[in-house]
Amino acid sequence: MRIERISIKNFGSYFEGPHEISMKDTSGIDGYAIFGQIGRGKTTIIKAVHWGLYGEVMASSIIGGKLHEKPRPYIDYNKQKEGLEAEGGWCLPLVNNNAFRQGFDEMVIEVDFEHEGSNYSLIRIAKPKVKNPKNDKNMGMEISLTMDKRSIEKHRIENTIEKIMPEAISQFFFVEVDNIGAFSELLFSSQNPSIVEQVELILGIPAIDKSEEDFQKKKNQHSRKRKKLMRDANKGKDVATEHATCEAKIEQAKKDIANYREQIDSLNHEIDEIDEKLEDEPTATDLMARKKDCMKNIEDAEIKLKEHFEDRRMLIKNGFWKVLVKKGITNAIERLTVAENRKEDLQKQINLEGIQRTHHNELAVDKGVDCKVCGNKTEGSSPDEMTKAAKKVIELDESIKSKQEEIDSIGRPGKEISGLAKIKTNVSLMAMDEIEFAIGRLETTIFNEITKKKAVEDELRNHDELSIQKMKNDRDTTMKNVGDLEGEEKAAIKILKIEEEKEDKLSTQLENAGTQSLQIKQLKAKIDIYNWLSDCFKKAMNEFKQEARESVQKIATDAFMEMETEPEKYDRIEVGDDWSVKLIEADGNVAPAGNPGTRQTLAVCVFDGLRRTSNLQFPTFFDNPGSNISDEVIQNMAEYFWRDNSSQMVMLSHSGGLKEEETIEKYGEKLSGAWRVVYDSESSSSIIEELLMK
Amino acid sequence: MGENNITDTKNIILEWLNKEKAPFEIDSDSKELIADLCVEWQYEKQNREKFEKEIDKIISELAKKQLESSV
Repeated sequence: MRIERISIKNFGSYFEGPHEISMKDTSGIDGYAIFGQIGRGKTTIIKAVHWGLYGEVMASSIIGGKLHEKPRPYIDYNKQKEGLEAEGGWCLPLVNNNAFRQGFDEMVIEVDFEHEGSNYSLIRIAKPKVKNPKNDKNMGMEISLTMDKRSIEKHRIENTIEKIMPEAISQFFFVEVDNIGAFSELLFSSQNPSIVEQVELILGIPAIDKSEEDFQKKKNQHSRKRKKLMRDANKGKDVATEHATCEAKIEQAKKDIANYREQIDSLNHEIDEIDEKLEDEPTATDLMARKKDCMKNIEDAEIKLKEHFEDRRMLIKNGFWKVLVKKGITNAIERLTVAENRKEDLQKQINLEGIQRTHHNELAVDKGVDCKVCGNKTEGSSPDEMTKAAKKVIELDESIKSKQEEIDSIGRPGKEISGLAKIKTNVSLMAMDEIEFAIGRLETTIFNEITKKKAVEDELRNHDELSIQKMKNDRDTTMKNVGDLEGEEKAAIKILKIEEEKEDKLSTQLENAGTQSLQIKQLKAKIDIYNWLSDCFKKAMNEFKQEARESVQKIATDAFMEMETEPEKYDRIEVGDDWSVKLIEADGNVAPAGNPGTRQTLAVCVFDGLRRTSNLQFPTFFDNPGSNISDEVIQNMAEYFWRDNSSQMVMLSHSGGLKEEETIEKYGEKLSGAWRVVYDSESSSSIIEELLMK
Repeated sequence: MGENNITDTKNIILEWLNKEKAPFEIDSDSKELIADLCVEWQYEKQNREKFEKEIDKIISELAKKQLESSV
């Protein structure tokens, strides 16, 4: 089956219409993408196709930790007309709100599809039967289906669709994010009857096991009938009377066993409930243990605290004065350093002024020189210059003297600095910091433990040990009752076995007692055939389950390795006999399944394994595959699904998943069509826009 | 399980019907008919009376033929 056209009118967020998607022209490629932000109407397209095919759309919600499901109504007068929040508000009506308010004439879904070489055209219409419909009783539904332009009779339409694509397995092809989420949870909880049933349904296992059950049923029916006929044929003979008594005893034993089993199951359920309550209820012993823990923690902390106080005391005793003067030493060193620097500075100035003094002194006495060799003559200082230089010499002498006096007054700070520095480095301030920190931490611990201890003591005061004891007693009594009943059940099973053996012998005697009628002979032949069928089907079942499991495992593993970003970390996906799933790491260990993204990816892979193993060629709509799956894995997933053209694959993605432009750019060649769903506020409707492909 | 590890319920059923010794000769058309019926009714969980009726019809016919041939 492949869908070629979807047309929507007045359905969900689609007002008026028709709003259409055409998937006719494939050019051998059967990959499609529908983009759109959350809440714009992508999922509505899937719901529309589902309603078109089956006339019903289920809504599901988790309320109080339990999954609730119910069919979505056509209309909800209170909600749509009055704007009231009706009870069960999560179950949205199917008819578009605006259409309903404006008095709509019809809600229409058309689906054209091809199946095994024939072209089908399906039209499903919901219409108001009265002018102002108030509830679904005022609504009517019409359906028409043509196969190669020939109309199919109304009463055969549902059956025809069911044969083409059974509703029971449709969820494996209309894959919504809720399905994936729920499925990924179920996959890891083995022995879940719901998941086992769904998985076996898509694989076609009921064709064998349901049939086998029916064969057994028919065999038993015929067997009872045959025995009755044989008894009737031997009426009055002891063997017939004895056989009738024996069969009555067998019936009674079977009833007793069923009755005991029912009671045992009910009592076991009661025990489970008591266990759950007891698990939630801490016992006085638990509370005492908790109090004891607190006290122990306080005691340990106090011992450590005492040790740290002792350390602090020792530190103070053995040189704590150094700690106290450390700041003063530091200040003194700083001041002495300033003085030392000043001394050095003054000395430099004295040296400079000494040079200047020598120069000015020479000027003050300079009278010129005649050179006796070359005859040149240098001029000496003028009298004014000599006087000026002499004054400068006196000035400099005074300055040098004053600076020298200051140097003398400073003394030898360098020597003092080195003495003080030695004292400073010996002070263990760090150790003191650590001790203070540890003391603070221990004091906090003690405070916390005392608070905890007080809370436990309060709980102990309010604790109802009596009610816990009562629950324990009830549990013991129920356990004893279960034991007694199991004993009774065992005894009934023993009686059944004895009576069945007896009945077997009596049956043989009955058979030999007289000539058998044709009817009895026919029944015997039928019982033999049913026995043979049942045997064949049991054996087929074992083989089929094993092969199907291996196939799902292989396909899912291959898909996972292709989608996963670090496939080398894993070895395989393992599918158990109960269809529970484990991811095995390269080292052979079972990978922890805590990451919701990995769980969802695994679920998608197992979905695909089931889909392909089932060999059912149905279109697959993947709606936001895995909200927790990383971008890279989502892209690998798209690549994986779009590469396979064995069946139609439509991926719907919101802006957080596959990006529109990037996807068209990267996978354009693998897509036969793509659309964008937007909400147009002007027309108050979702709109489907076709995107140009590369 | 086929070339691509794909399950085929009908074939497996037929394979076992041919493999296991029947209480008496069962023709291949009847076997095929039984397998087809089982596959056709696989998705029906509740109302299986019709399936039982149709199967019983085939089995009755087989039993009748068997008795006729053995007389």
